[in-house]
Amino acid sequence: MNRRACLEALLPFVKDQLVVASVSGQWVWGQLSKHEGNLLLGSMGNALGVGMGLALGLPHRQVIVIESDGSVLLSLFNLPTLGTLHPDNLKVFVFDNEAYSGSRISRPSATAAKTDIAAIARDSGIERAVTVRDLGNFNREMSSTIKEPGLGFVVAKVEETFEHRNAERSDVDLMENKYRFVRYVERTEGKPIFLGRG
Amino acid sequence: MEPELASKLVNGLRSAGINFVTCLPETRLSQILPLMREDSFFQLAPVASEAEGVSIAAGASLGGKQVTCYMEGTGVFVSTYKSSYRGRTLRRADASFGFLRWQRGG
Repeated sequence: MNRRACLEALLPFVKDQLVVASVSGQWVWGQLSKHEGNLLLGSMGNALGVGMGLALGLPHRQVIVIESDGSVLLSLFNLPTLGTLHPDNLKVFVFDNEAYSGSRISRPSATAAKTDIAAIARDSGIERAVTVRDLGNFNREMSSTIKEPGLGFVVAKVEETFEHRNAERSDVDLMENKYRFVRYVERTEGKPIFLGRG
Repeated sequence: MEPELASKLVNGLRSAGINFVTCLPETRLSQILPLMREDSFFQLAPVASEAEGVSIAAGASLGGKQVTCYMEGTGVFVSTYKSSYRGRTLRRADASFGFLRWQRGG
């Protein structure tokens, strides 16, 4: 299964949700989606926490988190906290390529051995955590996760690809993305968040 | 901590508009927690690590909450990586983001 194909399948389901993407997912998602509600973090280990905060702060709004195995492993303490706080409006997609696949390296992550992120999530209280291994199952789980109420957690086993090494990066600066995101939240929620000092 | 001081501290947070608090209990300030739990003005998010306390607070602040992170003094060091993200997130923005921790000695 290919991560880009999964994200292309997710694309039409994103309407007015807030989408938080970890560093590896943001390269592909940033190319596919120009949604103003995309928050591209440019860091590992932050997307799930930031997504949780958004979901808790805006409980009436669906929040989607695009994560990776390396990023979740970096902040594994997020899972028991997520299982405890259990925001029903949060939908998490972890693209697990079983590797640290950076711009120059490729090394196996713990999920290439025995670590099962969905099993850890379930044992942390995230009852609906599942692992999918082909596009058909991803589409089914992704669709029901987005449409049905409740905390969703889908681990998609994907092949390691190297397209991100040659992919053209977005020309949107991360700070610019942050302000665009917050202005979108302000507009759609009808409340000020960042007050200018100018 | 004297109950009166705990009450002053919580009232101070309230009057500053802080309405979302991530918390990992420590010893010396922990008397503030029951007070905040009883007060529906505060939304509490208990966390397993100070590091995620910062990430979760950053997300809540982007959603419009006025946030603070309550933690042990050592938690500041635990959360330095996440705080670097917090710095980028809230830089030049008129949004509050506090750390509530005990500091003793010189």
